[in-house]
Amino acid sequence: MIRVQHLTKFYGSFPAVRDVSFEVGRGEIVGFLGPNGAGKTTTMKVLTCFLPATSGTVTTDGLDNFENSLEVRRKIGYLPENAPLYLDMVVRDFLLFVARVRGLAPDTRRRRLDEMVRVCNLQKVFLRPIGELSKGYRQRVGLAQALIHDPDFLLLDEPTAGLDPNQIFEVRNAIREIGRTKTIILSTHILQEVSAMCGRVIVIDRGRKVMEGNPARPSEMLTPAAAARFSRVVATVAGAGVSTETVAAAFGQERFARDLACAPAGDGAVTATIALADDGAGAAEAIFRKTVALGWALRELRVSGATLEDAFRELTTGETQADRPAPLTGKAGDMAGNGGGWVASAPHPAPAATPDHRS
Amino acid sequence: MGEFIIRSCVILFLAGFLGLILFGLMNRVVRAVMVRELRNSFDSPIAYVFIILFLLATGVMYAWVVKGGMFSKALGVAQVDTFFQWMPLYLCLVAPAVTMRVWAEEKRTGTYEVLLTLPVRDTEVVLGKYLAAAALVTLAILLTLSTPLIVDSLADSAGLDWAEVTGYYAGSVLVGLMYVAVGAFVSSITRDQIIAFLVSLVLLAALWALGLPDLLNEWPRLSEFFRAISPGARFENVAQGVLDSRDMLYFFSATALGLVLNLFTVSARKWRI
Repeated sequence: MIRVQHLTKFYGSFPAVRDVSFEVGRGEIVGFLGPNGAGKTTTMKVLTCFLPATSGTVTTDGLDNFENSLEVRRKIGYLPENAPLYLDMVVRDFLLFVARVRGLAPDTRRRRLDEMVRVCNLQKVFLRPIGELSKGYRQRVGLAQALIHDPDFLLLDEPTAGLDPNQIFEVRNAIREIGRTKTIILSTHILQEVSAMCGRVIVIDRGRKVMEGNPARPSEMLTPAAAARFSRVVATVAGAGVSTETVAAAFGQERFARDLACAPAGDGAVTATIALADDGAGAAEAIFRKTVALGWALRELRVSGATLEDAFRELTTGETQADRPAPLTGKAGDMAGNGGGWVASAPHPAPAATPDHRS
Repeated sequence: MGEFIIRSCVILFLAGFLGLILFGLMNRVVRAVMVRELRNSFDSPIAYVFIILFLLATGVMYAWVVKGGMFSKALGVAQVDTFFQWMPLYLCLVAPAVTMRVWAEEKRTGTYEVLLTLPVRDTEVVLGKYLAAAALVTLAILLTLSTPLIVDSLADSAGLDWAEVTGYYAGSVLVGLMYVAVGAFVSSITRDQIIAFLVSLVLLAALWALGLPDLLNEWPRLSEFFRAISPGARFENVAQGVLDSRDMLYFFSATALGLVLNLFTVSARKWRI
């Protein structure tokens, strides 16, 4: 397992990572999520022994990353951001070079090379110079390079950055296949990626860990009060007299509704998205009864809590609850489409005074 | 007796370099890095272009430009002094051209991180890269053998003094090995190949120029010091077979210094400051 304890890394006087602690057990796929510049890559560089920590310790399978750097690096496969590779080398030669440096015996080398070509789907480009390959292929060559020695730990820094949707699909499939047997830490700023692949997510922001949890249950990462602000009911109703105004009037008066937005859903139906005043117990029943009482038909009734996006924004933008009502337009954690617009959200308040970790 | 010691020193130094290569071939990482660097040079046109340009330049200079060159009738005997006279200066161009990319390119493209997160010691990578570049420069120097061979075959009476030619080659290789170490170090402190090339070129040429007789006469007070740090003066010593072990020590320590500084800059990322 990888154990990070009070990791702090300064670049000169700039603290890139501050007092981050977490553990990653065998067989886990953990997403390392954060806005650009949050310290993801720096943490990766310490985990792969490229840079030392300013203070704090990192151990891999009980070995200190700084003291036992060589042994740790033998256990790790690493794909840095943007998959930097020797562009003038042919894919086969590059993978053989890495295998040689890693000390694989000739027959193992050949076997692993075949295996990598299969897992990462490189048959078509096997004898082509890396510089001629598309970004998706380069990323997969980088993945093959990180896996050639069959490591226990795989660290991937933004493995799908800059790829088109088809390439993302391919790379994710490859990672998923590998993840069945390996411990993987992958950093990303794409929320969807975490939901799609990771059993656990660690979010860091401005060098600090702000949350950790199961990406499938984001509400659990928030305080009960914060989680309640994101609970809402979506109801689509149809029938005589249904219009955005009548629906807004019907549900807007209810005690459970804190805020409400109505939109035509086509075919004469109207969809109401209702932000709940508390945790919303009983809201769905109340809406159902009201709809029946008005003689309308209920086409859809859905209760949703905080999405991963909600939780992420709540925890990384540093806004207080009073500043901002829960948005009514949020859709389930799909961030890929809007290019990480959340990164440039409200200005961060000045960070709280922290003890200086420089040694 | 003195000459015997000198020859022994040269042989010892070259043997030491050969030993380094052998060690490199024994060490998995050094060997892999060295082979990759060499293949990279010969797979691309770079190595060929530089070797050919180097041979052309030295040949042309010797044949037509330099006084007392190949076609000078004045002497009537085969001799290649003027061919080798400018060798340290030619190498000021060749060595940086070979070494400019070894680190700078890795840093610029980010492959540096891939390479150094493999289970390798910094020393092994520094050595592998050095040996590859040194082998290339040595090859370029040895290919100039064509010139002495031609001169020898054209000589009317007495042929070349091959002992003298050997001395020249020993000196050239020593200078080349030292230049490569300096060039590799300079390449490791920048991300830009062109800057690496220019800085090592200027640095090496300046070092060489300090040993020029004109300069030494200009500042007699400093001449001792200049002579001590310039590879130019040392080269002449080695080539003429009148040197002592101090010159060997000079080349050896200058080469070692370049390598150690190179190792320092590569390992600097790991300093906890």
